[in-house]
Amino acid sequence: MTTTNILLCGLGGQGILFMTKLFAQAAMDKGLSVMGAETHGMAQRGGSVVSHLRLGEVKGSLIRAGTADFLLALEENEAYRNLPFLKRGGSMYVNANPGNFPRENVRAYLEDHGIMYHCFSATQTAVEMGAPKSVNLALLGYFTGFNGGAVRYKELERTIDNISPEKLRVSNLDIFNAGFKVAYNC
Amino acid sequence: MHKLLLDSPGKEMLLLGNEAIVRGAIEAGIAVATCYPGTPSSEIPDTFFTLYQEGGFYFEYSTNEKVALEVASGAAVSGVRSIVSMKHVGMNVASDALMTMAYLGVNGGMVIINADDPSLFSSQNEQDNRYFSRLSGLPMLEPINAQEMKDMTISAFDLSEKLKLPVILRTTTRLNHIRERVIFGPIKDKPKKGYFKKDPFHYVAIPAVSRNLHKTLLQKYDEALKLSENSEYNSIKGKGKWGIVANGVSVNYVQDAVEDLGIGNDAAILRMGFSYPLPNDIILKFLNSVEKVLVVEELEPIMENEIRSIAQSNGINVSIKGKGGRLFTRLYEFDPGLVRKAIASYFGVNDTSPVKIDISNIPDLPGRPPNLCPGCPHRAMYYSIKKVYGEDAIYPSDIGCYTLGVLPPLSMADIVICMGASAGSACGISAATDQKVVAFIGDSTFFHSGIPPLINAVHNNHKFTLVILDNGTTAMTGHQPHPGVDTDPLGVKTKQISIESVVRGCGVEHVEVVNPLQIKKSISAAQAAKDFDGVSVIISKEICPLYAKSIKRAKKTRPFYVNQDKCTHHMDCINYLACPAMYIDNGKTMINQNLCIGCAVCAQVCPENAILPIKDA
Repeated sequence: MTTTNILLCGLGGQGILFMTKLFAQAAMDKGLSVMGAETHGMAQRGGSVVSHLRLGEVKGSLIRAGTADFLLALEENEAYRNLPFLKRGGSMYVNANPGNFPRENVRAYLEDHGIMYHCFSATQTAVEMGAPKSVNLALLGYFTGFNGGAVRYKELERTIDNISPEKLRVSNLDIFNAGFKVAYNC
Repeated sequence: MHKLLLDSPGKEMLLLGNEAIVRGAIEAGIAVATCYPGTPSSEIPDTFFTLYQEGGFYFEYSTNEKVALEVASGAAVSGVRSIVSMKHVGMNVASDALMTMAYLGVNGGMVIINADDPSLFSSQNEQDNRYFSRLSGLPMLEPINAQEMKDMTISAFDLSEKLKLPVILRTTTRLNHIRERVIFGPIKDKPKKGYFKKDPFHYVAIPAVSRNLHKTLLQKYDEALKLSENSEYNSIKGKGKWGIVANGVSVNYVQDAVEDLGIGNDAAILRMGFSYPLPNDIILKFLNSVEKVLVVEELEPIMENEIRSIAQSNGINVSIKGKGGRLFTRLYEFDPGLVRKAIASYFGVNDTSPVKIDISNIPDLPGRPPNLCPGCPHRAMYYSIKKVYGEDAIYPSDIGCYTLGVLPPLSMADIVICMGASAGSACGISAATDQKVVAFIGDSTFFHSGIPPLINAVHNNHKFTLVILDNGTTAMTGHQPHPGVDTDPLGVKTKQISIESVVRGCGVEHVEVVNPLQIKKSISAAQAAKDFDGVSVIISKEICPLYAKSIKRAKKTRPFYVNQDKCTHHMDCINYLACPAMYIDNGKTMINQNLCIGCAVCAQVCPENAILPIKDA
């Protein structure tokens, strides 16, 4: 199979690691070869956090610059910071205010490189649903609404159902589905 | 039963690299596991910790790496299998015991997990600990993926018992934090209890004994070399006129690059997994089969120099490049793009890598240094100390979350060296200058290596203040317990050692315990400490709010808000505390209520009393 490279980024504490785990588990469950590279430790005190996910028959866990198919960002500036990972024609999914995304000086650039960009306020969705810490699940749901990845909505939903802590299971699924609907309906 | 303990060969699980090591240790039938936590190794002990009660082995968070290595050594000489894990700089602390354990040797297998941190993701330096194998004479294994992290842990135990030597398994951050599928093997049934058989003329390292032991160690080197020559982990893959030698994660980058560049028919890859002693004959065979050689290794040019030496001794005149030749740097971890570029340029292959997107025209991307959390008690204590001692005092600091206080506006770290060095360097600065000195050390770091320098300070009449930031946990590495706590994160009662008693026992005459969230009291404690002529200690005692939350001991508090009618824009809260929950919106100081945990420190700092708790949620 061809390799799919997914880069997940955001700030320490936003739940990038849980997102990585969900993606990787869902991919493994459907029989894909999967490799993830995570950021642990000091950067988790509010610093930039990046996870690399590679699905397919590859050896190295890091994505080469210019070869990521998808970029999921839980924070707008982190999306810009990690742009060099995206390939021409790649797609990005960003937690940001649709009113002023992307930044003016980035727009032309994204279009030149054929990069598709999608954004919605995952923060607002998560806050409105009473779980401000679950921005990660809202964005994950949103991403699956575009049906573009190697891992699909139903597969991720099943994984969330399986590996969420029991206390958060229902809320996680609700927020994931809320994100999905935003994308699906647009 | 925990999934990692299941005796179910063939089972597949998605594991973090560090979890794979733990599974390897379980399969190898360990009896004793010890550690001092430290990124990137911390998930190893944390996983052992969740398993040990069910798993039927002994586990401890030791007070420091040297103690951890000694505990594991005691178990290994008694005939059971033991494992000890630490980060790279922990090996410096453990090295005194390490060097002589290489002489003494073991009966049960003993594996030392060493986690290097190229790129300094969470460390004070990026030393290359492959040198420790050369320094001590201990064999070293280097895995390349999660499956091997498990499998090699088992091989390391077998090797250790064959050679009767501790074996070092070297990982790097990229491997520790890889997430990958791992296939389980069977769990070996090994004794959980050993027996120490007296043999003082073997185990008591006095000169007369050690002279012989050194000889034995060198004999074991010859034996280890033979095993390295025949190890499945030292293998040549592919055939061709171009030779590439690699270790660790670089092996993966090399394989991907050779595949992507389509030079599979021209390039042979020598992978070094049993990397000390390096297999002389395999290298010789490799050198004789290729026209030129590229050595791909992160950090120091260790293999490169040793291979060059083998070539020289055998009169082989093949070009060997790596760090020499400037294709690679000795700095930081590699990335796949860098490795691919070096391979393409050295062998003259057309590199079709996509051009890296230039984002330099995107202005104003904020820097993202890690930060003290909202409500962190360290921030409060920094405020009070600075109020009393001012900007000009010298603030030696130590290793932990509180090191993050180095950034403005707190600017509360002037020198940081290594674990425990705050108190030691404070002695020197106070002896060599007339400046006021206040040193900071965390609770776990104090137990780790802060006590000897404190005793030194008292005994030698130094004059400074030591602030022990006691937040009831080893916070930075993920909330492990330490000797100063009464319960571990699983709620099991532990014997608590009082920091205050230790400090008094060290002969400190001026000791005060304060709650740093009470600003007035903290300032008066700081003033009294400053006025004391000699070594004064302030114990700043307040639980880490992240930890409190995770063990459900968090106090019920309301978040705060800024009453805009009262606020006159002194900005003291922003300028002196820099709490991540505060922000400025159109010139107004605001508090993010999702982030604020209600510590009330900003409210005490505000000269207008404009910061108030939200009354109705």
